[in-house]
Amino acid sequence: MSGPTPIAVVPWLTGSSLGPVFRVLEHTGVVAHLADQIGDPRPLAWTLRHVAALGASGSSESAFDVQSILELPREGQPGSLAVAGFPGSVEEFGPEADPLWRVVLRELWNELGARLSGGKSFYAESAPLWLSGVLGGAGLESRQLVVVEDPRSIAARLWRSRVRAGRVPAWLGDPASAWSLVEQTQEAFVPQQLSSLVEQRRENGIVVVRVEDCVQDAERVASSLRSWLEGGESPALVGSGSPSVEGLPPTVVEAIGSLFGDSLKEFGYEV
Amino acid sequence: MRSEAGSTLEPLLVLMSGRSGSTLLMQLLATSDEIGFRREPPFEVRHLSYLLRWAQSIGAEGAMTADSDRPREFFDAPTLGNRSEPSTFRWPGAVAEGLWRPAFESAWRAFSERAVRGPDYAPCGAARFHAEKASLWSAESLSELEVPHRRLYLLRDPRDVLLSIWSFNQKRGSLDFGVREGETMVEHAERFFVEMRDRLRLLLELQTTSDTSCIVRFDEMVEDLPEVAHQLGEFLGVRLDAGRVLADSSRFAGHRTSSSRTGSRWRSELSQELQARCEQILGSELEALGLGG
Repeated sequence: MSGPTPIAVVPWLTGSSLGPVFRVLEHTGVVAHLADQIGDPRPLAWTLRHVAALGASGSSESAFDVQSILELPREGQPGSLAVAGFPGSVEEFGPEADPLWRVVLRELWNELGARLSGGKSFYAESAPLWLSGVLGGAGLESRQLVVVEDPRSIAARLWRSRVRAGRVPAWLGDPASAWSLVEQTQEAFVPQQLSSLVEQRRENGIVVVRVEDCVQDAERVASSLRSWLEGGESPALVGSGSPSVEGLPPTVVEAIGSLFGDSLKEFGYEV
Repeated sequence: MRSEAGSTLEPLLVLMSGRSGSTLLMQLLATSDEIGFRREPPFEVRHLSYLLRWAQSIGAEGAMTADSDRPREFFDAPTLGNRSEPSTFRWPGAVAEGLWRPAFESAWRAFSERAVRGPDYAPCGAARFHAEKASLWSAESLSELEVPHRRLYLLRDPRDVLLSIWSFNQKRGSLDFGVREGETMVEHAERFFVEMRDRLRLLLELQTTSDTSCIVRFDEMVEDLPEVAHQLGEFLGVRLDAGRVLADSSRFAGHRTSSSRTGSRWRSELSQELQARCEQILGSELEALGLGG
């Protein structure tokens, strides 16, 4: 049995709206996903983390109790239990190039992936950037799709959400404090700068898709993604539309635009 | 069994082992190159039990952060059992149903292939069994998964086991083998004898029904280890060397709680009150197993 090829959908900016991207992937007809289910379950990530316990050396002594694999709750996590590492020294059972956890991950993915994919060739899941490298290290081929969205749109969405929830501090309502919002924006939900993605895209050929393109030209994006998944060229950015900044003070919009500057242009956003 | 197809080790479970001679039995099993386990006294590294439980827990719910930009944080072991954390993973629908079977099969196959090459695990790389002091839960799990395995049930007079538990705890200053804080031997014995009744009844059923299980009597091991080695060797199809165990017996002096290592220690050391209580609770089972008073 062979599992589907995983697609790591990597949101470059925290807070990006991934829904349109998964809908476009589904539209290709060759990709399965669970992103529209309640709680956005990530079984690939869960399985990967679970299997990783086999790669960590744990206590060599364990009780007869069936709970013996579970470690005691950690500080700050009342009531939770962690999966303990492999008993004793894990190196004893896999010092060679193909350690235990990697073999198990490959075989388990074939089984689990078949259950998740419903016969489709690919399975997509939101994931961190480095995940594809880990899967590759375990001998699992995967694809990686980085998602970008205009940070001004993200900031505006966050702003509107806060306004609706009545959680906007008085000082944030003052346009003169715009730079504070920008700084907060950067710290709170933009941990990875667009400029580094620009470099990685140029150097490593990372495939990027824009949320805005998935919303405004879904058919075209789906077609190019399908072609890419079937071995064709990487999809080009469509690059249309302005950021959706409704409700965000103009000075804030301008300040965020300045912060990201040329990086925004690189992905087709107006500055 | 190292089957032709997958080269997996056949689990050999040593059951009912608390203070019943399991370490002595493991010493005996260690004399065969065909039986693998970590040769580290008191032989309680439980790879099989770990992998069974690991496989079961993969289908559980738990807390996780899947989008970390820090690999170390991501790979920090998943936490189970806490529903109140903000990001709780739940398997959708029936996706995880029965997933523990392929998870265990895969892990056990990979473990078997690697274990036979481990110098501390299986000398000469000739192992076809994996021996482990295990719980009945492990045995039941293997049966549920239909994994071929063998079971060695240890049988020691419960009255001697009780005495051995209390001697061991006193010697170590510990509260092991189910003894509770502040409990007297009489209080503990009341629970212990009832628990033992179920176990002894299980052994009575085995006497007539099983060909993949074997009862190993503690008193016979103490009195005639070479004969036990012969019978057990026949059952497993391996050669066991009692002479090596007897020659090496001084290594395990700290693990024993009785200098004589003979059976029926209870006749001289157990109070009349507890002897009578044991007879009330376990009398018929002891009689049927040849341990009558």
